Amino acid sequence: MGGTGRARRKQRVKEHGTGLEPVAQLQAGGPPPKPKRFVPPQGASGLKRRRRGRGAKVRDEGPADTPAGRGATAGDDGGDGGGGGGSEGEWGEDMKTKRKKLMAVQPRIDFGEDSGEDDSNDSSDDDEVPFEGGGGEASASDEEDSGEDDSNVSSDDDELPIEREARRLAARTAKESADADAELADAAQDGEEEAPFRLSLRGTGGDADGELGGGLPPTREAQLARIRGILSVLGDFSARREAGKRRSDYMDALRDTLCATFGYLPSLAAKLMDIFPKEEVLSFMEAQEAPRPMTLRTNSLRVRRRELAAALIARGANVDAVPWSKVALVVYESPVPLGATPEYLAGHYMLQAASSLMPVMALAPQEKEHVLEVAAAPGGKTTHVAAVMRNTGVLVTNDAKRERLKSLVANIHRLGVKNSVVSHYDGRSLPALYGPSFDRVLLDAPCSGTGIICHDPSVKTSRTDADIAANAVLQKELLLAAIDCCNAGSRSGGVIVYSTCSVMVEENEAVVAYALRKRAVKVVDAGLPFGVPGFTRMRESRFHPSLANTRRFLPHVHNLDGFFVAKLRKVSNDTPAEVAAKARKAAKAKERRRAVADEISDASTEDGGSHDDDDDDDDDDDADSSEAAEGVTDEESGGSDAEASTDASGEDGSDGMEESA
Amino acid sequence: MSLRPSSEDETRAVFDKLAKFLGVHLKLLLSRTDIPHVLRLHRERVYYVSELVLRKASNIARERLASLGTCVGKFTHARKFHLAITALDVLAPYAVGKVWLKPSAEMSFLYGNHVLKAGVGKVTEGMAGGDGVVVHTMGGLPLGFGLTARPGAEWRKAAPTDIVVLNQADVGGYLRDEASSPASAL
Repeated sequence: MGGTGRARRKQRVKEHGTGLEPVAQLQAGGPPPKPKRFVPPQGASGLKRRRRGRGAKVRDEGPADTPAGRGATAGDDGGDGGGGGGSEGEWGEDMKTKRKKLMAVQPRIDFGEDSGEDDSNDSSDDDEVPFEGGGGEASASDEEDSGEDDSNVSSDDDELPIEREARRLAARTAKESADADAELADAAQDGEEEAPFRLSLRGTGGDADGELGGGLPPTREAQLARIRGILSVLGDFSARREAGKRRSDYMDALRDTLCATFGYLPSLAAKLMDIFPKEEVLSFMEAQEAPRPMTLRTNSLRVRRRELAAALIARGANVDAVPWSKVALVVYESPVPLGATPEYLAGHYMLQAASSLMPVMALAPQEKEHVLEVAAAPGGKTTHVAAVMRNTGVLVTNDAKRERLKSLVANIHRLGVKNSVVSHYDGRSLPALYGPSFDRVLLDAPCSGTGIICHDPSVKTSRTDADIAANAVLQKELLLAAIDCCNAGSRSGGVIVYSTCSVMVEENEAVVAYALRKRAVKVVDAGLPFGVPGFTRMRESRFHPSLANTRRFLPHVHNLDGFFVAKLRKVSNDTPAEVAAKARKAAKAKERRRAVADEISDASTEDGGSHDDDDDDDDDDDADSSEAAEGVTDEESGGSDAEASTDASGEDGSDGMEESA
Repeated sequence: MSLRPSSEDETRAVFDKLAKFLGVHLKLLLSRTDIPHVLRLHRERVYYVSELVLRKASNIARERLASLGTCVGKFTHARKFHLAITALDVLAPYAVGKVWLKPSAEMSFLYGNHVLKAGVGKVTEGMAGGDGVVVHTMGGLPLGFGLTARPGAEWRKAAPTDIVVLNQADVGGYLRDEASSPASAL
């Protein structure tokens, strides 16, 4: 479309009798952008907040994932009341309560969401009133709302505004009551479904063989109903199960149905079912079907968040501050591409997922420190770190992929980072280059991407168990390298942050647990505002209890990408093995000294030939006796004592690890 | 040594170019009181970097070093020195000549076009033809830099469609030619 639009405007005036609404549309030179589909937000990340009065619309969503539908699901889940199944035994007690709480919270959030939606409709209606009364200025979305309504009511424009309002109100109440009826019917159906469902598990047509593949219901709705049915049986297994069916039958059927519905590989789905018990796996997979809200990070090197928000709102974008971060903004809608505004090009902000703020918040770099980022491209976290450090100190960034360096370097320059060095090494070779010389190290490891399936759905079908295992090996090597680059003696730091965008335990907790065994590090609280604690046990693995300090971020709980963050503090630059070797050596030396002292003193059969070793009381006595006998230097005995104690602590530590192994 | 201080010819080429924009402020750039900064040549690129960062970079092999500090520009095959858009951070705070664009002219400039007389909202007084200028928005946001196409005195007489600033680099380049950007040495 070209031209000034005057002709088209005239045409619209002729058609609709009002020149008001189409004007903006025509001036824009085309139909206004469709409102973005908003993710129904759930949980505590605060991303659910929608600016009122700007008329965000969620009405036109497909039936599969409307908030109402989801509410019904959740209500169903809530009805099951967290029935204690056998598989629940896999969970730690606190974990169990935590999950239960989540389950309990879920429906309330969803219904809250429903009412929120109504609110937004209300508010948009409110906005329309002055507009239709002839108020000239209105934001783009308002105009659009009224546009739709206008097209409905344009037939009789001699109506009074109040009449129109009344009619709309009536229509809305009618719609609401219809919705409520539908919901009731839905619930009733759910209630009835339990009985017929048993039949369907036996196989729609055939028997046990019919359960797989061919026996699955054809439509997505039916598949979802089947999943819900299985879940309801699993919720109270002993009461609801079909005679002669085992739990594993139900689990297999659930897995197969999930795979058919959402398109996951069976192995991946099985892993997800381990991680997300029961109903949670369904919410996880559903959440992965929808995109996360778009967020951006203010570059605090160049601009303040309030100024940036003002600039973007001036460009017509609808943005809001993210409550738990000082630099993040969530974008509800934008008429201009936010990747090409002058502000973006001038480096005022970076488009990045809200979850990727977490590792840097956990790292908490200080000014004038030396910081290493092992796998840095494309530079979202790098530039965030530099901004937190206010461009002081040194930020060494590295990436193993040469083709990704371009974007990394471009972003570093665009955002005005001046303290960085960009290198191109395999992260595993970095310790040989630097030794333990960094105050803080950030490792955002390459991973299978099971947390960001909504960005890259190919993950569902491409990640086999072997891929995940291979990733885990690389991650372990990289994490050890990252730890080796960190200086335990750093006055301000000695911190390593490990993060992935995966939800797999193999790539997360297991990797950190491995590092705990191999290096002298401990897991400390990440200091993040929210997040689910990491697992300390998963199937046959038992991890160190401190892994509960790690944090997981989940799409269906926080409305963030699936993410994992662990903050480690390095205790010593020696590995536990080296510490143990040193302790052994010290013990031997002590033994020798003891023998010599015995010979010289030539007396007291007190601990004669029978001293084993490493008993503190023994040592003290020994030290005393040796002092008494020939005045062996205090320092020596003191030193050996200290070493004995480190040995003991080392043993404690390693015991803990072995427990976890 | 992966990074060497530039030779005399190269130094002159770089300083000549920078002096076009910075004038007498060039001295400030190299005698900073907070942290000493230096210019270093790496793979035909010139980087403006603090000595602290430079020390850390000395661990890295030449063929593994993609960037350090801020990239100022690049030597061409003909040994001429070209400023890159990444130099904007170095130039903008010290620049002598400045042009402020009207909002209507911003996007055109960001697409790589020269600045027309009609798009200029404000300008530094007393520039000669061929002087370096940093181009800002009316809000003071630096968008790029270029050369004046004619002496400042003649700008008043120019027609609205006359080019007054030749675009040398603009931040739109971050999107347009990220792949060919000289900032990354690899």
